[in-house]
Amino acid sequence: MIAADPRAARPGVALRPIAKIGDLKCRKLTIDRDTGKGDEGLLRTYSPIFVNLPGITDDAPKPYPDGENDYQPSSVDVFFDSISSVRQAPRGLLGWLNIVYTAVSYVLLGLPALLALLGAPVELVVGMLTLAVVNTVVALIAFVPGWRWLGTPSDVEGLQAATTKKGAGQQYSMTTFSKSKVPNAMSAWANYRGVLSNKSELGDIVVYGRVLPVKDDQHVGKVLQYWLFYYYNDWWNTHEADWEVAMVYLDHNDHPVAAACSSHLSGTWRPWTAVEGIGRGKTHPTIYVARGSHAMYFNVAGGVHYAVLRQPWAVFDFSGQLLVKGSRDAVGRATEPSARYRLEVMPVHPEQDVTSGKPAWARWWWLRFEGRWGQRDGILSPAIQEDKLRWDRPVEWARDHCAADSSSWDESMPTGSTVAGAAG
Amino acid sequence: MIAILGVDWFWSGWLAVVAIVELLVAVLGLPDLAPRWLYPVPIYVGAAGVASIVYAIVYEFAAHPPVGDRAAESQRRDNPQPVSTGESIIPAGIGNALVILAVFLDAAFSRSDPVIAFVSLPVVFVTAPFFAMFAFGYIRGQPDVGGFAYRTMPWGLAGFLLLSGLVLAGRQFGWDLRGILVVIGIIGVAIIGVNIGINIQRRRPAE
Repeated sequence: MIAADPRAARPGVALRPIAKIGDLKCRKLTIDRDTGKGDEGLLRTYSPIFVNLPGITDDAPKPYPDGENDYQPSSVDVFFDSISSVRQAPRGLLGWLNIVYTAVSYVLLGLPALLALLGAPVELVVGMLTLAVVNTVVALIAFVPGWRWLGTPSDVEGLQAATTKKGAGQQYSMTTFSKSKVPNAMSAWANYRGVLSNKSELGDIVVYGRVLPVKDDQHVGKVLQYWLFYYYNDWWNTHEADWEVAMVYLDHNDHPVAAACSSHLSGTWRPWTAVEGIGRGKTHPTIYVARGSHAMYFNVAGGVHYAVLRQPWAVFDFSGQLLVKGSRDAVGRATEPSARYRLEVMPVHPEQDVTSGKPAWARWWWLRFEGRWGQRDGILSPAIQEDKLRWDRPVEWARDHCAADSSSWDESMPTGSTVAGAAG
Repeated sequence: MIAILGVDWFWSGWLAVVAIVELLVAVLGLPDLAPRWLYPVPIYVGAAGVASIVYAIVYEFAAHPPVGDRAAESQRRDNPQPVSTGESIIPAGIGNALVILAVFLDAAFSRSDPVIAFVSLPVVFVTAPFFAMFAFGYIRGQPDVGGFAYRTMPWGLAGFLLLSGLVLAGRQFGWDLRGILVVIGIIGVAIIGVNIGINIQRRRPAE
């Protein structure tokens, strides 16, 4: 018996096209080998097929918004090939001092204008203005660069050393750019091209897999996580480094019951039977990767998804959520020759297995790195981002933080008798 | 319409005040002279702002242990809660806005020059709320939030300086300042209206 597809009650909701833009010429990324033993075998059996734009070519221009190429999920070594770091904004007591100093600086800048409006003597206005200008110049030339650049690790070894000290890594943001350079899309694309052309082994397409046992859930016994690392996020917002994740939820008999994929700050999930590409012996869910942002979706819709960013600053938007020009995700169907990705299996519990001196340290130290990936709007390592929500609490992430296509998590979870059938 | 926009009651009220103030200024122009009974208003406004800021800081520390407080952080890891978003930033931002508005209102009343209050609006509506986001973003260890606010809040200051320069130039050259500010007010209302319209359009279900 196959569990009823809950979308049937509300036909058209899940697959309704929103709009149609462009005709992206995408391709399928499939795993290089779909059989294996143990947990790795599960990861390979249910590995997603990612539909994305082809990778970089010799003459590929900037990928977004009009390009026909995009960054590929890759090894983190691509990022580490030319890494350095900057110091993050101070926290704790220094952080408060920074905030107070910034407030004082703003007051100093505004005060001369207010005094002038009130008709204060010219000498006083000019004096305050001079003070404000001097303060601003000193801050921008001395304080900020001095804080950000002095004494920061400038290679992988330095970052590893910082990672071994508890809390020390939090101070730094990794960057592939020169420390004084603002990361921008064109420079990132050029850097990416340079990295790939210099070392051919970095051109591998890599997906990081992890099998997480779930102990205390009545429906889910394991979660297969597929983490994708991208060199750069080139979309409405731009930033170095990006982590996306797709997940397959297995019941206690290792049969799939649901799948989820990330998009921006949240994601989407579907009951397994509603996932495209499943059934008749097919076990690889199809997931569409948006151009530039690498947000992932279960359907191609009309070629575009409106990206809804529920971020704190969205309260300043009139709809209560951030819908801004350019915040659309473009996805496309696979029309180009497909490619293969390689699976690297991550350690399940890096806190125990990845410590300095252990064999796994050299390969997986970055899972323990507590700083940011990217010097502006940097993200955190998959193992610690969002208070480990995606990493250690994937059921909660899908159930409470991801959008369901049509129904609630509890409505969609099959009963014990339907699980075997649903697994196909 | 509120339901269509998906705005909660709090922001409905806040945005309504913003829109009404802008609309009144645009339609009626600025009053000639504030009556004397209005003079205590800045004090009440400023006090409300301080109260709001204090509330926000207390709430923030209750929801987010200070960085470096290991015991509190480990407790949070063991008993994770959804990441706080606006529940402390909103009162802090409003508190900042009220305090700054109070300063300018006081100056405007004491000089009987409402233009002084008008030019403060970019700081009140942009710099003040984003400063709260900047502060709490960095203190929480969310540099993406803090960084976004840090890059946005100077626009409010720039708007204030621009309007101040306009007013000073107008005084110098004898321009019709009230006419100019009414036009600016109308433009502000138009921008708000277009924003609301676009969002209603975007939230309309697809056919």
